[in-house]
Amino acid sequence: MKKSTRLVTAAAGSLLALGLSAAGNQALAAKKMEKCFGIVKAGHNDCQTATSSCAGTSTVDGQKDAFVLVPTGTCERLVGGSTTKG
Amino acid sequence: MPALRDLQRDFAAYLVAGEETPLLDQVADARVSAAQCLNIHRNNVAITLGEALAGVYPVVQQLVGSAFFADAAKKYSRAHPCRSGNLHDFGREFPAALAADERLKQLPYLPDVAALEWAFHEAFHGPHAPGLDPGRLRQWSAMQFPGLRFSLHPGMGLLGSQHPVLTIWEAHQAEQLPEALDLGIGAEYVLLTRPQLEVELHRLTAAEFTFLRALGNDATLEQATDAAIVCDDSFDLESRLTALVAGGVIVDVRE
Repeated sequence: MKKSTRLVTAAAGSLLALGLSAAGNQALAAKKMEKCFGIVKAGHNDCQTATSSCAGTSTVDGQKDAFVLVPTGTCERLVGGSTTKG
Repeated sequence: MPALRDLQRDFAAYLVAGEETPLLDQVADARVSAAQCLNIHRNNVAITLGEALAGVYPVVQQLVGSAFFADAAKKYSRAHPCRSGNLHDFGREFPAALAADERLKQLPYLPDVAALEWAFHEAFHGPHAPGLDPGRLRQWSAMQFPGLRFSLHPGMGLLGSQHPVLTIWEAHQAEQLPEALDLGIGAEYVLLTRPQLEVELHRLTAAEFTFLRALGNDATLEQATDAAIVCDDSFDLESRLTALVAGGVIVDVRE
Protein backbone atom coordinates (compact mmCIF):
# COMPACT_ATOMS: atom_id res chain seq x y z
CA MET A 1 0.00 0.00 0.00
CA LYS A 2 1.44 3.37 -0.89
CA LYS A 3 2.20 5.88 1.80
CA SER A 4 -0.66 8.31 1.14
CA THR A 5 -3.21 5.50 1.17
CA ARG A 6 -1.82 4.24 4.44
CA LEU A 7 -1.96 7.74 5.95
CA VAL A 8 -5.52 8.30 4.76
CA THR A 9 -6.89 5.05 6.10
CA ALA A 10 -5.15 5.62 9.44
CA ALA A 11 -6.62 9.13 9.65
CA ALA A 12 -10.02 7.73 8.70
CA GLY A 13 -10.00 5.45 11.74
CA SER A 14 -9.31 8.40 13.98
CA LEU A 15 -11.97 10.61 12.38
CA LEU A 16 -14.59 7.87 12.47
CA ALA A 17 -13.92 7.22 16.14
CA LEU A 18 -14.24 10.92 16.92
CA GLY A 19 -17.60 11.21 15.28
CA LEU A 20 -19.08 8.48 17.44
CA SER A 21 -19.43 9.94 20.91
CA ALA A 22 -19.82 13.06 23.00
CA ALA A 23 -16.34 12.46 24.32
CA GLY A 24 -15.22 12.30 20.73
CA ASN A 25 -16.85 15.64 20.03
CA GLN A 26 -14.96 17.17 22.91
CA ALA A 27 -11.71 15.73 21.66
CA LEU A 28 -12.57 17.12 18.25
CA ALA A 29 -13.21 20.58 19.67
CA ALA A 30 -9.86 20.45 21.44
CA LYS A 31 -8.15 19.71 18.15
CA LYS A 32 -9.20 22.93 16.48
CA MET A 33 -6.52 24.75 14.61
CA GLU A 34 -4.51 27.12 16.67
CA LYS A 35 -5.09 30.66 15.56
CA CYS A 36 -2.29 33.14 15.64
CA PHE A 37 -4.51 36.17 15.31
CA GLY A 38 -8.17 36.95 15.55
CA ILE A 39 -9.78 40.28 14.99
CA VAL A 40 -13.26 41.75 14.85
CA LYS A 41 -13.51 44.35 12.17
CA ALA A 42 -16.13 46.98 11.61
CA GLY A 43 -17.82 47.40 8.27
CA HIS A 44 -17.39 50.75 6.60
CA ASN A 45 -20.25 50.80 4.18
CA ASP A 46 -21.66 53.99 5.60
CA CYS A 47 -21.19 57.71 5.45
CA GLN A 48 -20.57 58.23 9.15
CA THR A 49 -16.89 58.99 8.86
CA ALA A 50 -15.53 62.39 9.64
CA THR A 51 -14.82 63.59 6.16
CA SER A 52 -17.39 61.99 3.92
CA SER A 53 -21.01 62.88 3.32
CA CYS A 54 -21.95 66.46 4.07
CA ALA A 55 -18.82 67.13 6.06
CA GLY A 56 -16.68 66.81 2.96
CA THR A 57 -17.78 70.01 1.31
CA SER A 58 -14.31 70.99 0.33
CA THR A 59 -14.04 72.45 -3.12
CA VAL A 60 -10.33 71.77 -3.27
CA ASP A 61 -9.62 69.90 -6.44
CA GLY A 62 -8.25 66.61 -5.25
CA GLN A 63 -7.50 65.37 -8.75
CA LYS A 64 -4.19 67.06 -9.40
CA ASP A 65 -0.96 65.13 -9.10
CA ALA A 66 1.24 67.78 -7.57
CA PHE A 67 4.46 65.81 -7.36
CA VAL A 68 5.84 62.34 -7.60
CA LEU A 69 5.41 60.57 -4.30
CA VAL A 70 7.61 57.89 -2.80
CA PRO A 71 6.58 55.46 -0.06
CA THR A 72 7.50 56.88 3.36
CA GLY A 73 5.77 54.55 5.78
CA THR A 74 6.85 51.64 7.94
CA CYS A 75 8.33 49.90 4.90
CA GLU A 76 11.58 51.68 5.76
CA ARG A 77 11.87 49.48 8.83
CA LEU A 78 11.54 46.14 7.10
CA VAL A 79 14.98 44.64 6.68
CA GLY A 80 15.73 42.60 3.63
CA GLY A 81 12.43 43.44 2.02
CA SER A 82 13.77 45.78 -0.61
CA THR A 83 15.27 44.72 -3.85
CA THR A 84 17.37 46.88 -6.06
CA LYS A 85 16.26 45.22 -9.26
CA GLY A 86 14.00 47.07 -11.61
CA MET B 1 -32.49 68.33 -22.96
CA PRO B 2 -30.20 65.27 -23.01
CA ALA B 3 -31.53 61.79 -22.48
CA LEU B 4 -31.23 60.42 -18.94
CA ARG B 5 -28.70 57.87 -20.13
CA ASP B 6 -26.43 60.60 -21.58
CA LEU B 7 -26.81 62.65 -18.44
CA GLN B 8 -25.79 59.71 -16.27
CA ARG B 9 -22.90 58.83 -18.54
CA ASP B 10 -21.59 62.40 -18.43
CA PHE B 11 -22.00 62.47 -14.67
CA ALA B 12 -20.12 59.19 -14.19
CA ALA B 13 -17.35 60.36 -16.52
CA TYR B 14 -17.07 63.61 -14.63
CA LEU B 15 -16.83 61.82 -11.26
CA VAL B 16 -13.96 59.69 -12.55
CA ALA B 17 -12.04 62.15 -14.72
CA GLY B 18 -13.13 65.47 -13.23
CA GLU B 19 -12.62 67.38 -16.42
CA GLU B 20 -14.68 69.98 -18.24
CA THR B 21 -18.13 68.61 -18.55
CA PRO B 22 -21.26 69.35 -20.56
CA LEU B 23 -23.09 68.83 -17.27
CA LEU B 24 -22.38 72.41 -16.28
CA ASP B 25 -25.19 73.59 -18.52
CA GLN B 26 -27.59 71.12 -16.89
CA VAL B 27 -27.03 72.14 -13.29
CA ALA B 28 -28.69 75.25 -11.95
CA ASP B 29 -26.64 77.84 -10.11
CA ALA B 30 -27.99 78.31 -6.61
CA ARG B 31 -26.32 79.58 -3.46
CA VAL B 32 -23.24 77.81 -4.72
CA SER B 33 -22.38 77.74 -8.38
CA ALA B 34 -23.04 74.73 -10.59
CA ALA B 35 -19.30 74.16 -10.93
CA GLN B 36 -18.88 74.15 -7.15
CA CYS B 37 -21.84 71.81 -6.68
CA LEU B 38 -20.33 69.30 -9.05
CA ASN B 39 -16.90 69.69 -7.51
CA ILE B 40 -18.25 69.07 -4.02
CA HIS B 41 -20.02 65.94 -5.13
CA ARG B 42 -16.95 64.65 -6.93
CA ASN B 43 -14.74 65.28 -3.93
CA ASN B 44 -17.14 63.45 -1.67
CA VAL B 45 -17.06 60.45 -3.97
CA ALA B 46 -13.26 60.52 -4.07
CA ILE B 47 -13.01 60.86 -0.28
CA THR B 48 -15.50 58.05 0.33
CA LEU B 49 -13.66 55.71 -2.05
CA GLY B 50 -10.31 56.63 -0.52
CA GLU B 51 -11.61 55.93 2.97
CA ALA B 52 -13.14 52.65 1.89
CA LEU B 53 -9.80 51.59 0.44
CA ALA B 54 -7.95 52.65 3.59
CA GLY B 55 -10.50 50.66 5.60
CA VAL B 56 -9.67 47.50 3.68
CA TYR B 57 -5.92 48.09 3.39
CA PRO B 58 -4.77 49.62 6.70
CA VAL B 59 -1.45 47.74 6.71
CA VAL B 60 -0.60 48.81 3.16
CA GLN B 61 -1.39 52.34 4.22
CA GLN B 62 1.03 52.09 7.14
CA LEU B 63 3.70 50.51 4.96
CA VAL B 64 3.72 53.21 2.29
CA GLY B 65 2.57 56.14 4.44
CA SER B 66 -0.66 58.14 4.27
CA ALA B 67 0.42 60.54 1.53
CA PHE B 68 1.52 57.84 -0.87
CA PHE B 69 -1.53 55.74 -0.06
CA ALA B 70 -3.88 58.64 -0.78
CA ASP B 71 -2.20 59.13 -4.13
CA ALA B 72 -2.33 55.42 -4.98
CA ALA B 73 -5.98 55.29 -3.90
CA LYS B 74 -6.84 58.23 -6.11
CA LYS B 75 -5.17 56.68 -9.14
CA TYR B 76 -6.86 53.35 -8.41
CA SER B 77 -10.30 54.93 -8.05
CA ARG B 78 -9.93 56.47 -11.47
CA ALA B 79 -8.53 53.37 -13.17
CA HIS B 80 -11.02 50.99 -11.50
CA PRO B 81 -14.21 52.96 -10.90
CA CYS B 82 -16.60 51.42 -8.38
CA ARG B 83 -18.98 49.23 -10.37
CA SER B 84 -21.07 47.96 -7.51
CA GLY B 85 -23.72 49.56 -5.34
CA ASN B 86 -21.99 47.85 -2.42
CA LEU B 87 -18.88 49.69 -1.30
CA HIS B 88 -17.52 46.43 0.12
CA ASP B 89 -16.91 45.22 -3.41
CA PHE B 90 -14.60 48.13 -4.13
CA GLY B 91 -10.85 47.49 -4.05
CA ARG B 92 -10.57 43.95 -5.37
CA GLU B 93 -7.93 44.85 -7.97
CA PHE B 94 -5.90 47.05 -5.65
CA PRO B 95 -3.21 44.38 -5.00
CA ALA B 96 -2.70 44.00 -8.77
CA ALA B 97 -2.60 47.78 -9.17
CA LEU B 98 0.11 47.99 -6.51
CA ALA B 99 2.07 45.26 -8.29
CA ALA B 100 1.93 47.29 -11.50
CA ASP B 101 3.00 50.54 -9.83
CA GLU B 102 6.58 51.27 -10.87
CA ARG B 103 7.16 53.35 -7.75
CA LEU B 104 6.68 50.25 -5.58
CA LYS B 105 9.19 47.96 -7.25
CA GLN B 106 11.38 48.29 -4.14
CA LEU B 107 8.65 46.69 -2.05
CA PRO B 108 8.07 43.31 -3.70
CA TYR B 109 6.10 42.02 -0.70
CA LEU B 110 3.53 44.81 -0.84
CA PRO B 111 1.07 43.26 -3.35
CA ASP B 112 0.95 40.06 -1.28
CA VAL B 113 0.34 41.99 1.93
CA ALA B 114 -2.49 43.73 0.07
CA ALA B 115 -3.80 40.35 -1.12
CA LEU B 116 -3.84 39.18 2.50
CA GLU B 117 -5.83 42.26 3.51
CA TRP B 118 -8.34 41.66 0.71
CA ALA B 119 -8.63 38.00 1.79
CA PHE B 120 -9.29 39.25 5.32
CA HIS B 121 -11.95 41.61 4.00
CA GLU B 122 -13.61 38.80 2.04
CA ALA B 123 -13.46 36.40 4.98
CA PHE B 124 -15.10 39.03 7.17
CA HIS B 125 -17.95 39.67 4.75
CA GLY B 126 -18.17 36.12 3.42
CA PRO B 127 -21.09 33.73 3.89
CA HIS B 128 -21.72 31.62 6.97
CA ALA B 129 -21.66 27.86 6.56
CA PRO B 130 -21.89 25.13 9.19
CA GLY B 131 -18.95 22.76 9.46
CA LEU B 132 -19.16 19.12 8.50
CA ASP B 133 -20.86 16.87 11.04
CA PRO B 134 -18.18 14.20 11.55
CA GLY B 135 -20.93 11.63 12.08
CA ARG B 136 -21.64 11.82 8.36
CA LEU B 137 -18.25 10.25 7.64
CA ARG B 138 -19.53 6.98 9.08
CA GLN B 139 -21.32 6.11 5.86
CA TRP B 140 -17.92 5.25 4.37
CA SER B 141 -15.41 2.65 5.47
CA ALA B 142 -11.80 3.58 6.09
CA MET B 143 -10.85 1.86 2.83
CA GLN B 144 -13.13 4.27 0.93
CA PHE B 145 -11.61 7.38 2.48
CA PRO B 146 -8.83 7.84 -0.10
CA GLY B 147 -11.47 8.52 -2.78
CA LEU B 148 -13.47 11.08 -0.79
CA ARG B 149 -13.61 14.73 -1.83
CA PHE B 150 -14.23 17.60 0.56
CA SER B 151 -15.85 20.99 0.13
CA LEU B 152 -14.16 23.82 1.96
CA HIS B 153 -15.89 26.73 3.65
CA PRO B 154 -17.04 29.21 0.97
CA GLY B 155 -15.92 32.18 3.03
CA MET B 156 -12.43 31.00 3.90
CA GLY B 157 -9.27 32.46 2.43
CA LEU B 158 -6.05 30.72 1.50
CA LEU B 159 -2.94 32.61 0.60
CA GLY B 160 0.67 31.70 -0.07
CA SER B 161 3.48 34.19 -0.56
CA GLN B 162 7.22 34.10 -1.12
CA HIS B 163 7.35 36.83 1.51
CA PRO B 164 6.54 36.67 5.25
CA VAL B 165 3.20 38.45 4.75
CA LEU B 166 1.57 37.27 7.96
CA THR B 167 4.55 38.35 10.06
CA ILE B 168 4.40 41.78 8.41
CA TRP B 169 0.63 41.93 8.90
CA GLU B 170 0.87 40.91 12.57
CA ALA B 171 3.57 43.47 13.28
CA HIS B 172 1.23 46.20 12.05
CA GLN B 173 -1.63 45.21 14.36
CA ALA B 174 0.37 46.41 17.36
CA GLU B 175 0.55 50.02 18.44
CA GLN B 176 4.28 50.02 17.98
CA LEU B 177 6.14 48.39 15.12
CA PRO B 178 9.21 46.43 16.25
CA GLU B 179 12.53 48.20 15.78
CA ALA B 180 13.16 46.31 12.59
CA LEU B 181 11.45 43.40 10.93
CA ASP B 182 13.63 40.83 9.19
CA LEU B 183 12.03 39.63 5.98
CA GLY B 184 14.69 36.98 5.49
CA ILE B 185 12.44 34.31 7.02
CA GLY B 186 10.92 33.84 3.57
CA ALA B 187 7.66 32.30 2.41
CA GLU B 188 4.51 32.17 4.51
CA TYR B 189 1.17 30.46 4.06
CA VAL B 190 -2.04 31.68 5.63
CA LEU B 191 -5.51 30.28 6.18
CA LEU B 192 -8.25 32.78 6.99
CA THR B 193 -11.47 31.66 8.64
CA ARG B 194 -14.35 33.39 10.35
CA PRO B 195 -15.94 30.88 12.73
CA GLN B 196 -18.20 33.48 14.37
CA LEU B 197 -17.77 37.23 13.96
CA GLU B 198 -14.03 37.19 14.27
CA VAL B 199 -11.67 36.62 11.38
CA GLU B 200 -8.92 34.19 12.38
CA LEU B 201 -5.58 33.90 10.66
CA HIS B 202 -3.69 30.64 10.85
CA ARG B 203 -0.10 30.16 9.82
CA LEU B 204 0.24 27.01 7.71
CA THR B 205 3.22 24.94 6.67
CA ALA B 206 3.88 24.62 2.95
CA ALA B 207 2.53 21.05 3.10
CA GLU B 208 -0.66 22.11 4.86
CA PHE B 209 -1.16 24.88 2.32
CA THR B 210 -0.62 22.47 -0.56
CA PHE B 211 -3.02 19.97 1.01
CA LEU B 212 -5.80 22.54 1.45
CA ARG B 213 -5.32 24.04 -1.98
CA ALA B 214 -5.58 20.57 -3.51
CA LEU B 215 -8.78 19.82 -1.57
CA GLY B 216 -10.16 23.17 -2.70
CA ASN B 217 -9.37 22.21 -6.29
CA ASP B 218 -11.53 19.10 -5.97
CA ALA B 219 -8.70 16.59 -5.44
CA THR B 220 -9.52 13.36 -3.63
CA LEU B 221 -8.19 12.92 -0.12
CA GLU B 222 -5.49 10.63 -1.45
CA GLN B 223 -4.43 13.03 -4.23
CA ALA B 224 -4.26 15.93 -1.78
CA THR B 225 -2.24 13.82 0.64
CA ASP B 226 0.13 12.86 -2.17
CA ALA B 227 0.69 16.53 -2.98
CA ALA B 228 1.34 17.35 0.68
CA ILE B 229 3.83 14.50 1.11
CA VAL B 230 5.81 15.72 -1.89
CA CYS B 231 6.09 19.01 -0.02
CA ASP B 232 6.94 17.49 3.33
CA ASP B 233 7.43 13.80 3.93
CA SER B 234 6.47 14.13 7.59
CA PHE B 235 3.06 15.74 6.87
CA ASP B 236 0.74 14.78 9.73
CA LEU B 237 -2.51 14.05 7.90
CA GLU B 238 -4.40 12.68 10.87
CA SER B 239 -3.98 15.75 13.05
CA ARG B 240 -4.46 18.19 10.16
CA LEU B 241 -7.61 16.56 8.85
CA THR B 242 -9.14 16.34 12.31
CA ALA B 243 -8.34 20.00 12.94
CA LEU B 244 -9.88 21.03 9.61
CA VAL B 245 -13.11 19.20 10.44
CA ALA B 246 -13.16 20.49 14.02
CA GLY B 247 -12.38 24.02 12.89
CA GLY B 248 -15.25 24.04 10.41
CA VAL B 249 -12.95 24.53 7.43
CA ILE B 250 -14.33 21.37 5.83
CA VAL B 251 -18.08 21.76 5.36
CA ASP B 252 -19.08 18.89 3.10
CA VAL B 253 -17.97 15.48 1.86
CA ARG B 254 -18.82 13.33 -1.15
CA GLU B 255 -17.43 10.41 -3.11
